[in-house]
Amino acid sequence: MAIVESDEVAKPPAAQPKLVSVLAEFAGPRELMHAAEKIRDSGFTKWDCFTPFPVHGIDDAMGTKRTKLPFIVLCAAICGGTTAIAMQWFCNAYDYPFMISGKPFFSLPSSMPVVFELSVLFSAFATLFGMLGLNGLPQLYNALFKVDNFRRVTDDKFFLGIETTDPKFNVDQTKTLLNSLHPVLIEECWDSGETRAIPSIFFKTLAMLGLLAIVPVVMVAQLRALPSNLPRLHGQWDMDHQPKLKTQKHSELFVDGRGMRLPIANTVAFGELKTDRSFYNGLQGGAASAEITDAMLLRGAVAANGEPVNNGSFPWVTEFPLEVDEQLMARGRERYGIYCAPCHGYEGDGNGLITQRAMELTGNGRGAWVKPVSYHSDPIRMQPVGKLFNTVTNGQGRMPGYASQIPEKDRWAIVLYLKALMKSRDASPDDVPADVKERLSQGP
Amino acid sequence: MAHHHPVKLDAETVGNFNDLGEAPERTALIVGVIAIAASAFLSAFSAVNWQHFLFTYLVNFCYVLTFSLGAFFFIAVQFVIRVGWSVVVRRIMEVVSLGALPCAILFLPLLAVVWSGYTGMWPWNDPKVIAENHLVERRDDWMNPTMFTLRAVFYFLVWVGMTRLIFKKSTRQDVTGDPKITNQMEGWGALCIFLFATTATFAAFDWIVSLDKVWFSTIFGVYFFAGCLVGFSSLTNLIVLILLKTGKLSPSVVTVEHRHNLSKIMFFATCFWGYNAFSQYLLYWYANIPEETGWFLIREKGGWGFLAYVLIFGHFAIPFLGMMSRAVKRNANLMIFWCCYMLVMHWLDLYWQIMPNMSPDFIPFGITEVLVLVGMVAFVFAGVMWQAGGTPLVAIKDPRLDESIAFHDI
Ligand code: HEC
Repeated sequence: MAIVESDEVAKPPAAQPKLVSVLAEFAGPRELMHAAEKIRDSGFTKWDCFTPFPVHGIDDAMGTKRTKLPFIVLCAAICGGTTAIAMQWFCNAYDYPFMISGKPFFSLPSSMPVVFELSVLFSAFATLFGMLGLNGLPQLYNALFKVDNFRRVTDDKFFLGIETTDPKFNVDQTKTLLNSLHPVLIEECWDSGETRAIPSIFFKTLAMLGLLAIVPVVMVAQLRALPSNLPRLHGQWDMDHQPKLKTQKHSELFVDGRGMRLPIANTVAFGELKTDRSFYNGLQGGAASAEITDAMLLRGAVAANGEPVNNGSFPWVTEFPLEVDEQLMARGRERYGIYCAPCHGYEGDGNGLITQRAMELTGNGRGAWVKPVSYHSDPIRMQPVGKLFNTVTNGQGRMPGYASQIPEKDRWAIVLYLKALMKSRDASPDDVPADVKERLSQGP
Repeated sequence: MAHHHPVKLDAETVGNFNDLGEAPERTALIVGVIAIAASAFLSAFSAVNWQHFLFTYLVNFCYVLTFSLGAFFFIAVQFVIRVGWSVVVRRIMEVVSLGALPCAILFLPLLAVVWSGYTGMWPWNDPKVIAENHLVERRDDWMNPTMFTLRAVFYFLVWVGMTRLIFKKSTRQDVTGDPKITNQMEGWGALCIFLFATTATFAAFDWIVSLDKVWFSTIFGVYFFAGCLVGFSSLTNLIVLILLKTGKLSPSVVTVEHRHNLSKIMFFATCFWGYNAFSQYLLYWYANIPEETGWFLIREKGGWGFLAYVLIFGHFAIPFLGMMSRAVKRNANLMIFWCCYMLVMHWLDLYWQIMPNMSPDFIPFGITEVLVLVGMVAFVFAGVMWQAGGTPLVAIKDPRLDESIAFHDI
């Protein structure tokens, strides 16, 4: 069998080993610290100490300057805070102003939490990346890793290394200097000279991945920009299409195609049997109100001929359909304070806090508001209690109904209190009971 | 390591609290009592002045109390998390915390005010306010003279009891050097933190929050706590710096590293204060509920509004930037300035919290404030020095002393 000599030309040129640094090992931190002070004083600049744990005071011994990192972090924090303010101003006050409960679009107090968050976030990034940058990290290769003895630096050895690139470096002199510091041993660190370039496959893969990453972005952009008659893309099909019935939605399950079911004919749900028209609607019962449907009582109801329903002439009850006592009055006063006073004011003049604020905004051209009528105006004062009850139940004009929030009995209590309020502005001396009159005439 | 040699300390070399001067506590006591009595006397002739005096009394009482409370909490933390570095300055904190006892005495006049039926201070003590205000009436079971007194007695039992206990144990160790005491204090410390959190929160509600009829703030306890930390850290740092300056403490025992750490705590306290003060404001701003915003409404107007800005910038922004740098924290002279500055700010903070309840329209600052402040500080100083007596300035036999002296801030 013949041995075929490989072609000399195909071989890469023989690697040229190169001296990178001279290492000196020391017995412990104390010796190392001492050596570092000497090296510092002899003016070397490109050298370092390697220890298995942080050694207090080594920075001073090496003459290391304090890091600039804090200033980088401070700048980043200021950037973060400014970004936060600018972003919130842009979103809330400029690009998409949206009024939320009368608050200003942009204000410093409400921006502070985000300012805080972004300052912290930016500082955290600046700390991490600034630290990496200032230290020249990550460093995938260092000739020191090839020195066998050096491996124990993470365990129990202490080294000091001077690099050949240092302007004061001279192999013999440097070694003599190091020797004078009583090291345990002196060693040279050689770089084998092999190429240290990152394999090209790494970059090729990276480029491929980069190209692939563009695809989804382009797809999204295309779908957003162009009209399409394809059905929407569903990220999670079974979340978007759950096999259940939804309100006001079509359903295949039932013959009539309604998802929502009607109550079964001729049945009434528990607690829904409301036959007493005077208590539940404020209308006189029997034939007088037989023509009046619930729909006609609603706010803004429209009759069959397209005219708005005028409920003023309905046969409203004029007496309370429940027993009236002091307790009911007290209840009415309390409920009034909760549900009505914010708009109508405690005195019923229509000057509640909400109205005051809303009128102020209306005055400034921000929104529109109808000031509630005063209860003490004639048209309201003359209304039968049934009609007042219906106003609270179904609302009137710009005022919404409160049927869903206030149960019937409480609504009557409120109406009772309304009557008391009206009376308070419309009383004559004859209305005052005799004993009270006597007390009043005596003076304080 | 090469750069330090363990320092052996004994009672002689470190000096003790008696070396600080010739019976300073007696002079301080006389000054304190005279100053307070004089301002009380000057105010006694008109109802307005008398109310002013009582509110000022409360402000300054809270002021001197916060030092002791902050120190109490901080020492407890030191024990629980086995802190090494702080051992050389812990004795000074212990002595600051002893202010709880003189504060208990200073509280007695406030109790007398409540029991005398005086209505110009806490509205819950006024039957007319109770009758007219549903919310106050509903709180009556909690806010009444008996409950108020019972709670106050409990607070002071805890504060005086615990600070005395810590001090006793710590000084016993000066003699015996028994490391078991350090272990025991770990358990006590945990209890102290719990007790501190509850008592300080409730006390802040009893004494400061309840000055307003309806106002409440769930974060106020933490706000008060932040004030305690600001006050305590500034005062402790100032004492340490002065002792170093005057040569009573050796710079080889309390080094620049310890000063640096104390200053960091001050810096932290400043940020923590800003964080809480602002959180409280922000939530009110968002919710916009009348019985809550009322508190800020009066504090935003006129002179109080100006003071509010002084606090935003003076109590937070300026010291935040001013104390941020490491070089500043390690510079004794600059830190003496910042300590005094923060002590003033802390006082203004409490003044701003309490005083507008008496005088919503203007800042009533006058000679009363000065006299009562001087009186209270002198009185508490006397009480503290009397308790501290001849104890060494440093916990000389603490098992972590060497570690503390060798402490090096990276
Ligand atoms: C959100 C504000 C608001 C609240 C809350 C409110 N109202 Fe009104 N109310 C109005 C406004 C606005 C009008 C005027 C409506 C119009 O004329 O368009 C009005 C009108 C009325 C009227 C006169 C209706 C008529 O016949 O013209 C009565 C009576 C009345 N409210 C009673 C009440 C009672 C009782 C309550 C408490 C349950 C109440 N309102 C709560 C805003 C409010």
